Amino acid sequence: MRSAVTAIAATLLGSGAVAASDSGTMDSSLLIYSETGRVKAAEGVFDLSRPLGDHRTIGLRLTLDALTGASPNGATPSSRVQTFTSPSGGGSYVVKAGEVPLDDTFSDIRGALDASLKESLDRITFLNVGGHLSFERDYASIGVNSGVVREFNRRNTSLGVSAAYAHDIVSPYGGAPVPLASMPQPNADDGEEEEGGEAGPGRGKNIVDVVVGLTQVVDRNTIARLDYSLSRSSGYLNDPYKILSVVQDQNSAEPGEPADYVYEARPDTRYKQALFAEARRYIAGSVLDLSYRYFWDDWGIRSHTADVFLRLPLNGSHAIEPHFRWYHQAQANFYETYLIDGQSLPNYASADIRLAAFDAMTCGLKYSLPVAAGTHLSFTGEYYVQMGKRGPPDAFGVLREYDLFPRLDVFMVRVGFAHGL
Amino acid sequence: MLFWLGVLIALLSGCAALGVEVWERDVLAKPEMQFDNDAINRALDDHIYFSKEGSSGGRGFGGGGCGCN
Amino acid sequence: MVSSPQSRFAVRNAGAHWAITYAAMAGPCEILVRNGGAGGVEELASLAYAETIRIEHKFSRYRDDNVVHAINHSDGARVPVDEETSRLLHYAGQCHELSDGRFDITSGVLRRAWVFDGRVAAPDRALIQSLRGRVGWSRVQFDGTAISIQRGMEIDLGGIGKEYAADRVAELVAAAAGTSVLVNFGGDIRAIARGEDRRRWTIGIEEPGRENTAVGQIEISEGGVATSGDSHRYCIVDGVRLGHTLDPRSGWPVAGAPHSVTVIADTCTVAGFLATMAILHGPGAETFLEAQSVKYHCIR
Repeated sequence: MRSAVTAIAATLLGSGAVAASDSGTMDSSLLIYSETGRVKAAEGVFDLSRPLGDHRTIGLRLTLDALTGASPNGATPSSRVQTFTSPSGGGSYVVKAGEVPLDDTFSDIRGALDASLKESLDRITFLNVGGHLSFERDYASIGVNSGVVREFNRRNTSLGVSAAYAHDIVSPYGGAPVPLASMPQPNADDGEEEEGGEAGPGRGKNIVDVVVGLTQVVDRNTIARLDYSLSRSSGYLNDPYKILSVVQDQNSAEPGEPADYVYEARPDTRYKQALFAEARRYIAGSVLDLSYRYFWDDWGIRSHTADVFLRLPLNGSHAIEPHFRWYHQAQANFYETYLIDGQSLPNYASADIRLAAFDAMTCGLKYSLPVAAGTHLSFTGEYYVQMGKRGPPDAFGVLREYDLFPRLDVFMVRVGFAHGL
Repeated sequence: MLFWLGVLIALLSGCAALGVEVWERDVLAKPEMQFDNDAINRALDDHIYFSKEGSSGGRGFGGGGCGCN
Repeated sequence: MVSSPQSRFAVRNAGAHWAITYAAMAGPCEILVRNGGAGGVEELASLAYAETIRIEHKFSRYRDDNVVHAINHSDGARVPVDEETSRLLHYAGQCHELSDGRFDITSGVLRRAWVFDGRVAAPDRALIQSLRGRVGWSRVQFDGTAISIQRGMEIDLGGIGKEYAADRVAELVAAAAGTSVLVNFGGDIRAIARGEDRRRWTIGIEEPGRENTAVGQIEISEGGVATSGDSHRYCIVDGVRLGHTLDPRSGWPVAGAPHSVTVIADTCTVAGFLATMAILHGPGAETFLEAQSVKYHCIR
């Protein structure tokens, strides 16, 4: 009986609602992101949540990120120096022989604001509504979302449905290029661009998302959940800065060397679906969390994501949390490492490495500690690596000499500060 | 469509058999046992993987709202 | 006389800790806070005092402006309750089930059939029978957001209110101060140790009726202590001394119970529940407490 009443009393007393959290929570984090030889970025998030009376909570989140550095433009390496037209404000950039072409002319700053209102309708039904705004130099996004969650079975089960709509506007530097049109030759003399894309108003994109989620208490120490999500994007889905190399065919003078570069072309609609399952268990003071997601879309991409973390408590409310993530992706059906000169152009083609087949792994360690009543600090270090096949099996000529999917190595550090939790 | 509705109903009725009483929620009340206890880090993760991989979504909405593709 | 909150409590430095004292919950209240914490002691005292008065006013049976009054005069209507009241009612309901009906916050009306002045009593059996018809948590409808009790029934949160207050105030002050704290509301005690501090507080147990004479000592760094007992309030029926704790199932006080039971548990709320349960087991009080694996002290 003693343990039963201790547990009942814990529910009476300790459901986290001591005075400090009655005035809301504040949560912030700074991420420093660094790819070896490529993109460097910093992102800061500041989140505020305050109760408005007994049944309502208002939330506000501000995000700022800045990035700079180089990312692959989709072209293949060559034994010669290559010159590419730079998207931002004319000019060009040069890539050394034998190197994977990286466009390093980017740097950008983005700011985003998210607002949300959560309301408890009766003690087992919750409604939430939110809005989102994001701006960067070549991209803007505005969206709304809403959802409802209801609890059943003595609050052991909860079912939620939510939907979101967003309208994005892509305003690429130099205008949106004509898909599969040749990249204009860089004109070194006057730095002006020849025609190659429309300048003018940005191109739009509409995204609708629906998520259905089920959460279940399994036993005193275990919770689980299952989510299904469906998303439809339509409009301008191309990456305006990515190109493909059109290489000379096997029987030509220089097989595999670039003859031309064309802008990529993707379909103007995309249907994505995902099924996500997660379980979390409390084991003698530690917490183990396992999750798996299966993703599929109508572009042919299929992926598996498996994630695990283990939170181990240390003395004085400190904790350490190792974490591991494994990801496997199958390529989009219009992904081409390169196109071959002389062959007719497909309807859709992209050499964007993010649509290729690859495996990725993340391993990380987080250390958290309390610094004052109700306040916590955390430090996380992570390493992320992406590995793909060296090249398609039928690579020929000079292309066989290069690794067409160079490894991506990323180091990340985060500092988090939370109060009132 | 009807099939998936059936699956959902079966899942929900199965769920009715699981769970704990009100007085057994001591462990579940701990912050580290809430699924969304690290929301900011999950949001940062979603953003990173959305911009470096071809998948999105799963745990909540599909990310996006930025030009990182 | 101006009654500012500051004048309602007294603060004293006792060396390694501060002592805050005031009167509330029908008795002396004392809060001990170890030195070295955050913030000033005056603020901690204000915080503790305000929270104690808040809980006392909210759940007292003697006021006419709170939710308990509304429920007890609702005449069968549904009374919506806020989150804190709901948690207390939920707790009361779970305790009722756990104790097989011995714990029942609707049993207050039974006191009308009894006078505990130490004298011989001749209980009115017909009255007790009719009052038993107005007792029973199973007759209450509570869905988590609103409660409705039948005409003639009443709820009394006095049995759990003081222990709840001791736990709440201790948690608030410990969180605000960042150092170890002990709260003593007239014998309902909660101690919270913070950081690496494992120093113990020494608590004396008095014999009922003989204050200022400690018959036992408890030392705790963390946990709750509560005492249930009859002190001066008893009556004699058929030559048998009966304490004032009534068994809701029979409407009669318990015979053969210890004069006083003190229990040490994780929180004051749990200690209070187990102490009351022990009394209701009458002669079997010690056996019951042994089975709970708690430290206890009985005086017979």
